[in-house]
Amino acid sequence: MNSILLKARRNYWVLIIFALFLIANFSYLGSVPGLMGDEGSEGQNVFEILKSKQVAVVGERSYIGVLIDYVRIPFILGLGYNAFALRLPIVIASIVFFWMMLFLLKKTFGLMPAIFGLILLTFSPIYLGEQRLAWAITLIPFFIATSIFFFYRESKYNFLLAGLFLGLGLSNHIIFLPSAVAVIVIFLISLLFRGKKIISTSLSNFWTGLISFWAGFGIQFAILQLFKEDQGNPGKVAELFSERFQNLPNLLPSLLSGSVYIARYSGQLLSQPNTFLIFYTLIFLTFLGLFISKQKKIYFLIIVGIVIHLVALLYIIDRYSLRYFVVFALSVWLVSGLSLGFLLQKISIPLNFQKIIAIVLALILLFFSANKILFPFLKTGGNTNNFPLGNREESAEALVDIKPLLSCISDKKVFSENIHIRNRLTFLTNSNNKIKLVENFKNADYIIEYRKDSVKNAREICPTLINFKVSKKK
Amino acid sequence: MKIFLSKITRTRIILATLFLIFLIVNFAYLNRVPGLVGDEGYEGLSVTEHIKNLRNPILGRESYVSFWVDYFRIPFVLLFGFSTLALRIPMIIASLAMFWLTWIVLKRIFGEYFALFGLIFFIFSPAFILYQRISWPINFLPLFALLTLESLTSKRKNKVLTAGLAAGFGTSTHFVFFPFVLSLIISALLLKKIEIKKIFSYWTFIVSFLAGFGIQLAILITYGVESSRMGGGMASYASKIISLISSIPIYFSGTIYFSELIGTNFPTLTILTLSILIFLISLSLLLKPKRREAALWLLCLGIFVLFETYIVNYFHIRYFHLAVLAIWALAGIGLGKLLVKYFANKKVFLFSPFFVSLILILLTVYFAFIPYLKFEGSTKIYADSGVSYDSAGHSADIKPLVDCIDKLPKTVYAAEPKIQNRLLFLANGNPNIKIAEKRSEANLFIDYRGEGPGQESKSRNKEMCPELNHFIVIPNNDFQKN
Repeated sequence: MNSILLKARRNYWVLIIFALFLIANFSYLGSVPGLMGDEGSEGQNVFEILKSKQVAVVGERSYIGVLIDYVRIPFILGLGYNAFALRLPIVIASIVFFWMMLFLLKKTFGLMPAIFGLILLTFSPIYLGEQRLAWAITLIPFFIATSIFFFYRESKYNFLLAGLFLGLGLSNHIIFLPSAVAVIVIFLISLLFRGKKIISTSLSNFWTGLISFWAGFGIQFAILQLFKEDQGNPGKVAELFSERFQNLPNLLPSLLSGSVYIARYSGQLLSQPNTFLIFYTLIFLTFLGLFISKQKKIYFLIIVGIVIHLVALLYIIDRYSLRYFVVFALSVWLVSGLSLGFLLQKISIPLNFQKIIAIVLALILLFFSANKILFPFLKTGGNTNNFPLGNREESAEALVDIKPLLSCISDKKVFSENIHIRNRLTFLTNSNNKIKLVENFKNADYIIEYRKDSVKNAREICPTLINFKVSKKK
Repeated sequence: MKIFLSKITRTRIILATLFLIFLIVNFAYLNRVPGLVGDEGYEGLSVTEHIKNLRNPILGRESYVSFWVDYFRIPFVLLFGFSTLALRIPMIIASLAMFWLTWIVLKRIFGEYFALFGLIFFIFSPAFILYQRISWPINFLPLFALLTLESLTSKRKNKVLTAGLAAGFGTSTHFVFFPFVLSLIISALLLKKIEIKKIFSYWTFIVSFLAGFGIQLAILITYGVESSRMGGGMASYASKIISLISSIPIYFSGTIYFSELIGTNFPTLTILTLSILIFLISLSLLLKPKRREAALWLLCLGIFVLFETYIVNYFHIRYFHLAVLAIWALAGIGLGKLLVKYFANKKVFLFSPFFVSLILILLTVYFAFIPYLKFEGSTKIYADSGVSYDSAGHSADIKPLVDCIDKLPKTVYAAEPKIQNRLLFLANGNPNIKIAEKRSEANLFIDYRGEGPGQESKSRNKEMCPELNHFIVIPNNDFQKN
């Protein structure tokens, strides 16, 4: 016990960073952003499972696993059908991710580069904005970290556990596939740099990882084969790969800088100078790391892994969607942070001063995100503006605050043509009997839609709503 | 006098000779005895659909039967055509593996000499010779049981992992394997082979079990199980136990395997064989050494049968086939103990493995092979359990029927699915056979002789192939007029 206290006292500054991480992740967890339509849809699956009282193997989609729904059950039962209950398990996974990444990075690059890498990763606006959303896809970084953690852990069951988490990750969401490919390829390449004994042990135990991978993914593979309706046309998707690749350079600055992720909340992209400043800083740091890192091979391998991930991702996705690129963007922030740590070591900044820099950096990033995401959101409850995203436009309406709408429609028979609005209300109805959502237009008294312009019509019943319009049916 | 067989070379020579005999027995009349069985035709149709891409790639014949067996059959069907032989070669491959696995498992559990007789009783039992050749997924279950046992009894580092994988694949192959997995776990717990404190160290079993069973589990949950086949239930369990008790004599004696082929029950042979088996099993339990192992084997078997009875909704020997093989193996162990105790110093001791093998093979040849080849099977009714009856028509030789309709340029139809399925499968490899999907589209109607709607055909004059022993082929119009 004394040794733990001693260790904690020595590393109090890490605990400060962790405390900041907790504050950032728990603040307004249930209300910023507002419950998303997709969160509602995934949450409704929990309701269906509880209602049917039967074992379910199909998640919200054929490519989304059901495991996360089972994880959500105790939270829903304890806290009710609300955004907070859905997001709490995600934040818990985030906490595990924080410590696992610290362990991995520290073991590979030493404490200070690890801390800087972790700060840029977990305090980036991308992480703070996206990694609280209760989507299955949000767990991808968690599964990447756990599978890498077990691959490199020297234990009897390392391959078995690594394979299992890779399988569970892929089962959780098919978009994990590029990450899984990158993790496996990098692991195999990294074996070349290790001793002959480790290579032969690893290769002779690799089959155990394949078995456990299938244990994690087998059920979902069956679901993917049985329910293909929501999977689009993979052949056509593959054909358009080069088109997506060509569009990437246009998107890259706003993607890596976090500008588009900020716009999801506020509807406003960062100014162009700011976007390019952040973007080029990240690119500079990333390349700088290749020259100043003490573990050049490993650092280079990580970059290779990021590239493999990106190429594979562009190959399998049908369109640009921000959530697909979270892992890519976060990896770039991570390597930039590592590089910053190498730089501070290189120019011999005293250790204590580096610790202070780390805390200040975390605070700056936190303040940046609060200023660009939290405060504008709290002020307006989000935004329904559109913003450009590579080959298409994205709307910020998915994240708008729904609470003002709920007060307006209390005890009124409502309907919405918009699936995302309907999904949110359907989910919330399970705990809130004042929401009277009807199944079709015919039975409704009031119609809900997003407010896309400032024009207010005479049939509106809550003209003060900023992001929604509730109108009496004609 | 153990010297006769304790030497490695002698054992090897005996094993090699037994294996040779085993090969001959298993390849003998592989495609003729029995002829293509009704459900084999149905299995074959599943393979055809996979080849023609008409079926979801992960769906087998039923929700509780895996697709992998179909894929295993595909190269043989492509190589040997749509024939009985093509469907059965995979079974023979499994049987070859089973020979050696049985030897390894029994040797590890009971020791070399007893294992030899356990092996002989296992592989030359009527159950094995007559049933292991039929191309049903359920007939792969003994293979997976042996793979599971081989893993568990080995000293390999990852033995729990591989055991779980074999158990998972077995359960995936046919869900009636699950009681075997449960019986293994419960027996091990009862005999404290698994320490409760270390129970969590067996998590790798669960992981690999899921790896083997995951896909089928998803299919089972998605589509459920046809309730008339399986599902279990405590309400009917007591009556099922009573049925089980009345079925045990014909099942465990192995005489049911003869009845399935030639449609006759053998009450005297049943009593005689069962008595010998009970005597030998008692010896395996009473004579030293390895009494504890014999008791564990029997306990596991008992639990398996009880669970199996719970999950199946009707009795058929195929559900208890694994138990029959296991009980015969244990009887073989008992015989081995008897021989060691009383005949170890006699010269006959050296030749006893061959002598016992010969008796067992002759038993099957005399009661099954010869009558079947002579009469082309049967369509007689026989008791297929203690409570139900079935027609042997499902295994009657279909070759004469195929030869008959091959010459008739007409479209045929059989209302009996077990005839229709066989013809549908074989028609894929024979363009002369034209099968109608509906009765109204057919020129000729086919049924078993002596039963069913074809009985109206009083004389053989109207029949297209009056020489057939077990089938009638009549003009469809004649049937409709009647």
